[in-house]
Amino acid sequence: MKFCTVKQYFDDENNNNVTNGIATTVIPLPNKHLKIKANNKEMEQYEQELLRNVMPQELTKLILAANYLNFKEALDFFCRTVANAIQNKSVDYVRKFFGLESDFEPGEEEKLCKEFAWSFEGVDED
Amino acid sequence: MSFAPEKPENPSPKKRPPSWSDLWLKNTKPLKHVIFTMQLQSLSSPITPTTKNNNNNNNKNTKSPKIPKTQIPISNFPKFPNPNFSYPKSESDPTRKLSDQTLLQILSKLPDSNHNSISLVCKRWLNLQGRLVRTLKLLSWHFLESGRLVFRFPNLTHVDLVSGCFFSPRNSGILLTNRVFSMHLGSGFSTKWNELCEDSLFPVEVIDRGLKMLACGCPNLRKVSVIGASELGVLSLAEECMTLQVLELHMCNDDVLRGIAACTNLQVLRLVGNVDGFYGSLVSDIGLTILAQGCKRLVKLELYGCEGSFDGIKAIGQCCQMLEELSICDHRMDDGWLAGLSYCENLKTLRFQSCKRIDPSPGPEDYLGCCPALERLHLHKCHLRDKKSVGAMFMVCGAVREMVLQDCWGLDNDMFSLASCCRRVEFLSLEGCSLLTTEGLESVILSWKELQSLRVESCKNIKDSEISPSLSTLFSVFKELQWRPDTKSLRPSSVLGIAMGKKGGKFFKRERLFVH
Repeated sequence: MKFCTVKQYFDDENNNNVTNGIATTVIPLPNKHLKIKANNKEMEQYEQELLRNVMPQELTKLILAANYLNFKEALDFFCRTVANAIQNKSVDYVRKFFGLESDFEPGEEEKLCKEFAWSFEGVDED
Repeated sequence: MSFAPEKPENPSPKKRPPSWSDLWLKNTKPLKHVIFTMQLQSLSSPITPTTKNNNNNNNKNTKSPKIPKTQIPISNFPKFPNPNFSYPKSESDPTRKLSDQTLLQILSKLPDSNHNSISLVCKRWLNLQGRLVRTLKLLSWHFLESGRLVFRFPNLTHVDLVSGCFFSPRNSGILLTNRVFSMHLGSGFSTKWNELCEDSLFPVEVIDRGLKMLACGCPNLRKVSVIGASELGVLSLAEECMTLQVLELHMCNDDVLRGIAACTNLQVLRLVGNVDGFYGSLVSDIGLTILAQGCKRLVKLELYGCEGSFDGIKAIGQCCQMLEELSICDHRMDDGWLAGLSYCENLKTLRFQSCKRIDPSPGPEDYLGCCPALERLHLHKCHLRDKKSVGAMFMVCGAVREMVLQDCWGLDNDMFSLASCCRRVEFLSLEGCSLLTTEGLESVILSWKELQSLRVESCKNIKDSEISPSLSTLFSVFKELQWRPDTKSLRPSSVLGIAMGKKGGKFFKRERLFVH
């Protein structure tokens, strides 16, 4: 099931989504998974090494590749990595990390901050 | 299975007739149901709510593109272009290429404390983060009334409106808290507590309006708490939120309960009628009967400060066949109501909390009956001074397996001896029962042949020195014993661990077995 998309990828020559560099990183992952399946820690270490020096842009491309290849474990792992990288960081840091710009209108951010402080509490995530 | 990726949209979109979007937006009823269905599904298909939000953001000139990802299962939903659509520069923002689904996956892995900072990154993130929020406690009514709440958090399932229903000054440092609610006070408050609550509450029309807005905006609601609503507000909740399972109504009365009958899927209900010193609101037999006939799927019911009598309880017992847990707090029910409990055939847990009296005039013993399926009886902070009440209560609860008595006044040896009629008790917990002595305890538990676990804590008149040999033999048979009647005893969590009951005269003297 995991590999049918990969097969399609190889068959389909015309795709732009996954550049070769990314493919070489993502595709060996299933094999490694199978090998080190029992030992979670080793897998973690392997994955940590893999992503130690990756820039956010690369990370995004990796996510897109994993998404396209329908490779759930890798996708989950990359998402977790991104989440860990931006966890507990300030708004500006997160913006810089992704290269985003704030598209809020001038008063809007303040208004939102006020809402956070006074209008409600106890907000949990899913 | 994933499909081959579609090419990104043509940068110069074809001119569509403007009436399409308008048509779609005007005719919102099918849209609402479609979105409702889609929201109920897992996060695998977020494109619909985003697109809906996209419309709301039309005038705000967002830059969020909608390049659909290939794995969205529901592909029938048309993508209609944002009139302010501009082709994204892929180099500048790597997250633009990520679908909402993927971004949601990332955001869902972040801890709750990051909620605020994540929401402030950009509008797209604000919307997506808002979509992940499920629980909310409202503090400012304006946030709901202005529509901001449902706009930002359309996927709410648990909402607590009680604190927000009061008109309270924002910067006040004075917090008035009762068991049941809490509110901030301005420094100019009068000392008439009775009026304080009603004066500070928003008018009922305002609350109903807010409820309707909430119900329409968040159709996936499962739990709502509100104070001062009327039956119209509750009806709008019932109509829009099919998944409503838990409802907490403060300042509830018989009229409000007329609206509850429409909540057919309700499983847990808490009604607060009278709160001593704050407000008085009448929930009587009429309301209880309406409730019984409307909410047949009720599993857990809590009646706080409610009136009523045998008829109301009987109606609940007969109609709510699935009722498993009943909590009675500070009740004002008419005498003779206890006998109604025997009609609750599937009741497993019965709780009394802060009751000043149980049932002073319960009627003849023959008519009391017994709750056939009852397993647990919990008494917490109750007055057990009246022998008739207590006797009747133990008779009705004759089948219990687990009995917990905590901080009950008036529970002396005589009173506790009435519990001998509960012959199937397997677990007993006594805490804060300061009138009970070892002798009183012994006389009851020796008659309970099925007792396996015992917990005694902070009962100062139960002395280790008064434990008789037969009692200590009994203790040695227990699966679990927690013995801390006074502060000097240490806590053995299991009998086996301290070699209790083993023949070991050389290690322990008999009378010192329980003191470590």
